Amino acid sequence: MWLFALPALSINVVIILIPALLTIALAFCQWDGLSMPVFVGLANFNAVFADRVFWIALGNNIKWTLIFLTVPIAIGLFAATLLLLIHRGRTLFQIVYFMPVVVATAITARVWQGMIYNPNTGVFGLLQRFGIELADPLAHTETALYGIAAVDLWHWWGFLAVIFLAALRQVPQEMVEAARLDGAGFFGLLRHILIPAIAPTIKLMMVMTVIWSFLVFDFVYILTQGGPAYSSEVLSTLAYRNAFFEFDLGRAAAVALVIALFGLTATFAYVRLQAREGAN
Amino acid sequence: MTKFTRSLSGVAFAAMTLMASGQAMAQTVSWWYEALTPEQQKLLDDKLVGGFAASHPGVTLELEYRGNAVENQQRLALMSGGGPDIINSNGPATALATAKAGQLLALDDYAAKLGWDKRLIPMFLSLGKVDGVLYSIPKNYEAMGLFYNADIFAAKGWTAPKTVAEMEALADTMLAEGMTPFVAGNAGFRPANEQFFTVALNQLAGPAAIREALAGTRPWTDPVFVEAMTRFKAWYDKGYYGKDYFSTSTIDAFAGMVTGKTGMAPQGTWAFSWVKDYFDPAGANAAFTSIPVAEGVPYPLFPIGVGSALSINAKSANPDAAAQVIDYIFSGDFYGAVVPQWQGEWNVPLADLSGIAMQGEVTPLYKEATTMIADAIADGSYGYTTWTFWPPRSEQYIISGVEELWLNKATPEQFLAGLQEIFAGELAEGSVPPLP
Repeated sequence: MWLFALPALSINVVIILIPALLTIALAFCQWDGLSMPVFVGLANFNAVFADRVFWIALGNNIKWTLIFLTVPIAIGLFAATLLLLIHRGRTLFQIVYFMPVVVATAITARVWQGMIYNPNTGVFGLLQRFGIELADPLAHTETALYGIAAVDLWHWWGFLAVIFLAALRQVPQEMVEAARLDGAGFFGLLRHILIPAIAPTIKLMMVMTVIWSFLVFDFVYILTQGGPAYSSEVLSTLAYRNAFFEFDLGRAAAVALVIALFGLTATFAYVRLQAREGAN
Repeated sequence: MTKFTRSLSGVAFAAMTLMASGQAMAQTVSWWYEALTPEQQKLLDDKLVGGFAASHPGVTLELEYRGNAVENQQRLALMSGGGPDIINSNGPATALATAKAGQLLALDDYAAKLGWDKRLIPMFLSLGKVDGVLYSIPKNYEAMGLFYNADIFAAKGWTAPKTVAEMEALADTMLAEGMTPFVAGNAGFRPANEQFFTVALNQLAGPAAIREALAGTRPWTDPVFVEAMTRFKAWYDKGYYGKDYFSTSTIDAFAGMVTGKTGMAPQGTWAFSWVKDYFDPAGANAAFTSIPVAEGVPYPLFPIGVGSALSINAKSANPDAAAQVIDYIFSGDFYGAVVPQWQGEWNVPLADLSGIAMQGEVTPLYKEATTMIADAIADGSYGYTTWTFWPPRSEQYIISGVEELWLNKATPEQFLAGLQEIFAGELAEGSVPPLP
């Protein structure tokens, strides 16, 4: 049995376990990436927790998680249910919904930044010329995070819709038919039959959303690089700046451990939930 | 000695002879380079690799284009005992850290033997020294000055401002005429913030006060800096940097100067390539001069920066050959070949440009500007750029701190207090680059 597991285990040890252990060790060291690391105990964590930017970034990650736990899941579920109920054009709609997911992040971000939000070259600028005052959300501290989240949501909800549709299609058709005969409307069907039937899929997606939300980096970095004035800073952009611009890799590793902590908590909660459901 | 050991010795001797003759025959010098456009790569392949090969038979320069993360790749390679022969750092601060980690070769002997100490501007050589030992040499230098549209200024009867008071009066006139006074914007490139900070700090507080602060003898919370930052913030509030600063890229704003949408550009000499891209096709005429200064600050004034610095890997197998490559870069032959094609990028710090035969047309504006800057440096009339003279954490703080200052998240006093705290820590660690 061990021989059978060896290839996958070796890859995991080399690619995941060793770098993970090194990151944990690095969080307790001062290292500029050039000289030998020096053990400094909890100094990196003390510095991170004393840094007001860390708390701004953590707050933004929490806001981001709350947005992605609700908005795209609600839209995805709604769209998937509509797709379940129609037959003509279902494949076409699935392709259209899924298409933003396969477009490269850099392209999506640049299109939104230059062709939609931009007050000179984008749709917002065009609307301004017609008297509709729409400010570039990426340029203001109050809206920058939400402006980025809107781009990510546009790219993300279609993926959830397709996943939820796949789960909904496993629900026995007889149950749906019976509910309809009993007079259930669209929302009744959704609430009493479909959502309970695909609850494990929804829970899994929610756990993954928590993990992914604390790892968010690409859209933030391309669109605002955490600005203006730290208003869209998240933990991963903070760690990136610590590591590659300030050359403080120990501090970056400490921030990375905080990110991992949230992911681990979400995973642990999911495993407990699964175990409880299994026992019932 | 048995027959077997005799045979083994013979094979070993033959192998050593072959290796030695191979070394004598051809040496390879490796250099990892950042991402370039295909045209730029072709230019370097022709003028640098090809030009060097023609004058140095027996040494091959291998330029490897490794993308924008080349600095990080190089750090990891150096840490593991590898890396290219020529180390290209992002300026003196990075070179300082690499030298302190023992990963760079001392260049003093090469500088004396190959005459770099006579050929290069002494101020720039001093930037590469750590505890008196030379470890890096600027590949090029840049200076912040003021670009403007000469045609528009002439048509409107404006002259280039020499004082901050004149600059403010002109900026107010531009605002009244619907122009954005400064070419500015940070969309897609937040470090643009530090360029505007650099110009404002130098022109308002003056290089003498900045030098004292960089040396640790004057705090950043000093009233001279508070006053400078208060005025810098007022300029943003008045709209000198434009109402769409965070949505505009500096390059787009620079292009707007051709049509009179934007007024004047406090920019680095790298913007000469933008002049070529936007002014020349439109048949417009650009002009370049010193940044205007406040009362008591010397004029002309050009804050000086070093975008990259060259060193030799301490573990290089071919250090002499690597020194030959660096020597070629600081030759008149290479300067004359590359500068007409790529103005602003290969502004190597040669002390005397008068005898160099240029292989192509160099615009009169560029010639005039480089002479003006060289004269100012010789007179000691230069300032300090954040990306060259500030250590990394302080520099990063400034990039975000400028936004906090402008967007009312921090007062000038709070912004400078934060800078002082971070800078003092880095000064104590010895991370502040050497000052000229």
